[in-house]
Amino acid sequence: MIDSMVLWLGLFTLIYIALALFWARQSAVANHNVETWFSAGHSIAPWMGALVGAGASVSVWFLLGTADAVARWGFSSVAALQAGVLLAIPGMLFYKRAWFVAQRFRVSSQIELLRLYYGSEFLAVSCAVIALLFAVAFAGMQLRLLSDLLSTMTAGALSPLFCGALLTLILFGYVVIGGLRAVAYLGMLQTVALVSATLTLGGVILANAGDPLSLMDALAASAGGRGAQWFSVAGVVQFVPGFGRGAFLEHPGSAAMILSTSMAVLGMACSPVLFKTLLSSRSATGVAAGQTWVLAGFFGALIITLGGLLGAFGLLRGEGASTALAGLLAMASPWFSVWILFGLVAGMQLFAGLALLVAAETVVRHLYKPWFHSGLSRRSTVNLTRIVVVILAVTSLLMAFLTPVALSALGAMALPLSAQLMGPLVGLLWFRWITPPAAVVGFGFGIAAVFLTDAAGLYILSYLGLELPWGRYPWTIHAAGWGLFCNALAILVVSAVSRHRERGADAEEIRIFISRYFAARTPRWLNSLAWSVVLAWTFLAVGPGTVFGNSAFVDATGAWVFSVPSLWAWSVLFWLLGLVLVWFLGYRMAMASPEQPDIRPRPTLPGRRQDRASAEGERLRRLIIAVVAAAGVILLTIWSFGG
Amino acid sequence: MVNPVIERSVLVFSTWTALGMLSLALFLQGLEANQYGTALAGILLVIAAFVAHMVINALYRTGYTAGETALGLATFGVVALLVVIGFATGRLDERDFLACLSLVAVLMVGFLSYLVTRYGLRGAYSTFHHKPEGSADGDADGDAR
Repeated sequence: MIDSMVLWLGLFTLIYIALALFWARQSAVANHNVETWFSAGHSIAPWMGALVGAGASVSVWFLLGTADAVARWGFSSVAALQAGVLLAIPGMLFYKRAWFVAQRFRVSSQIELLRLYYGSEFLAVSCAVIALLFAVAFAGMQLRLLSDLLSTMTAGALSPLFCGALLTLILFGYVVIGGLRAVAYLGMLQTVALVSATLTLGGVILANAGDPLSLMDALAASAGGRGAQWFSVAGVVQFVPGFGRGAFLEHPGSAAMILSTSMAVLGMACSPVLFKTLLSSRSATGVAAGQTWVLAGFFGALIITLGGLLGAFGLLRGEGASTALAGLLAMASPWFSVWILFGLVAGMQLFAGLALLVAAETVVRHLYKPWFHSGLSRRSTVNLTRIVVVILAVTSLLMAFLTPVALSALGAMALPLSAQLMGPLVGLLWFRWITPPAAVVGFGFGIAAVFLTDAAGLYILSYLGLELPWGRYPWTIHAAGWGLFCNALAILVVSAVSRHRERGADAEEIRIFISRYFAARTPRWLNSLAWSVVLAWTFLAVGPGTVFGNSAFVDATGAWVFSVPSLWAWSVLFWLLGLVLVWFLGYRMAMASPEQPDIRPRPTLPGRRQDRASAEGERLRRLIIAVVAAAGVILLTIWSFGG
Repeated sequence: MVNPVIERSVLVFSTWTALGMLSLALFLQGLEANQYGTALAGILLVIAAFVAHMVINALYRTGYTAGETALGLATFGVVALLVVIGFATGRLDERDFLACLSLVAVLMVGFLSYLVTRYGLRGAYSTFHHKPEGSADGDADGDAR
């Protein structure tokens, strides 16, 4: 069986490498080597952008992550089960507007958009840090998971490190050669492979995990005893210090935890990574269909059914999702197992490739070049970015195997940090009353709150000798929730005191452009209705209303009405209603409806080229001195108080 | 910068990746477990992939490329050869043989229906029936004799 597995694995690996190289070469030819390496000349077809964006949003993380959450915490992991709808909502709010603005002002990434409007280098550097966290840590966690799985499936014939190194080599190989175009073209194949493999996994679960009804019977049998906590939301909120600092009342799955974790999920759609696929598309006409039918509909269905089913399987066996998955794959025929594995690998590489490219571009093109080397030619910029892609991929690999705990702590922080970008995005694309200083200060408060309430921040502070009295996620509120609370509060206060401050010329022009293209086209009562429905859905699907789901589908005898846990049935019901909600926002409210207005790019004024080499050199010298000084202070602090 | 040729290729690759790999796995599972139904499900997925490929061709107003035709014919040849070898060496039992025969039949029907839909009945025949140069006159002469 193992020999056969290795044989099939080798065959599929060869096919995968051939496909990756073929599309990398096709892309390199279409790019004319470096001319359109970063954004594919904004020519990605809208349907392709929509599919690749949806696939990258889900990647392998939300499928296995949901299963793992259910396997560990039971069906109170509602935020993970609703991931399809949650991932689609920010897309509805931001993507169409962002694409229109980017088209008009000739920008191709989120960081350029924010820099243009807010003129804040702090925001730009923070965006770069978020992109790096996604590329190195978030993708690295998935790499480690799949490397271990591949090694397990070959009974150790291939070591996890070998599998990880091979996957990394393939990954940076096609990204370096073909740039964004290769990521998009191959991403399309990876998306359908992920879907096909996930459906196959569903078949394998049904074939090998036994009759689903008997699986549910076994779950129901456990509901009376120790497993009772698996099927209920543990109250609205628990005023406990958090993970690592004391016991929870029942389990940490309170309604507050569900709501705040949902905010972290929103962070994926607000990330610079996902914006890149959007802004490289040649039109925004695919946004509505991609977000509604592909992401909220199709992927949402996969997550809530297969994620739940695999999670239930792991729950009964008392093991994590990846262990349960390995057990299931061992029972299946080698060709099915290998196909599922490759689908998952494709999903991981889809996200990782995009994240690597965006992080490297951000570091080189948006930070290094404007600050320190404005005279860098396009060819040199692309080549330097290629080198950074390789460095980041190797760093991710090394961290995945040498410092997995630090990697997972940093990876876990990527989503809540990215969620803090909602403030600046809302200020840029929606509400004029959010002033630029307010958005930037709010964002700063948001990331500080995340840092103080998530594992990575607590570890770092502890290492520096500062032991905070609370643990991770105090009051059963996820770091994303603390961050957004502080973010919103700071935005309100600072907007109130800075409302008379003038904006820059670019910011004013963007406001005029937005008010011209997005003037209210729907009646006032419909707008009110839409926001009311959003609030109602949030309250019931992922908010305090989820406690009703504990017993909504339980009959008088205590049996489950639909033969599945009441919370799961509640989640399915609100996933369906969420799908209607996303459709309503996207199409009926025209937030993402397909439109192709004639947006002429703003003409660029020919600027006088100045020799800024000496100023840039001075800036670099100052940066080096600052970094050395900061490192000295940190070392001194550790020596004095921590370690 | 829009490149419909590449976009069509991406779609074709995606279709065959998703459906083709799954159909291969199902077909092999059918042979392995001696389940004709499972193998048939794999064959149905091949048909679905063919149909999807034709829909893509219709959308982009084009036919199969030379590379696709060559790959298709080569695959057909390899499958036919494997069936013959399997049967000759006695490694295929009756159900396996039936499944393989169904696959070959589907591939042949698919090929013929492609020719007919692409070129029409007369055109499909003419695609293969090459007349030697100047043969029209000669035939006429012959008929006259």
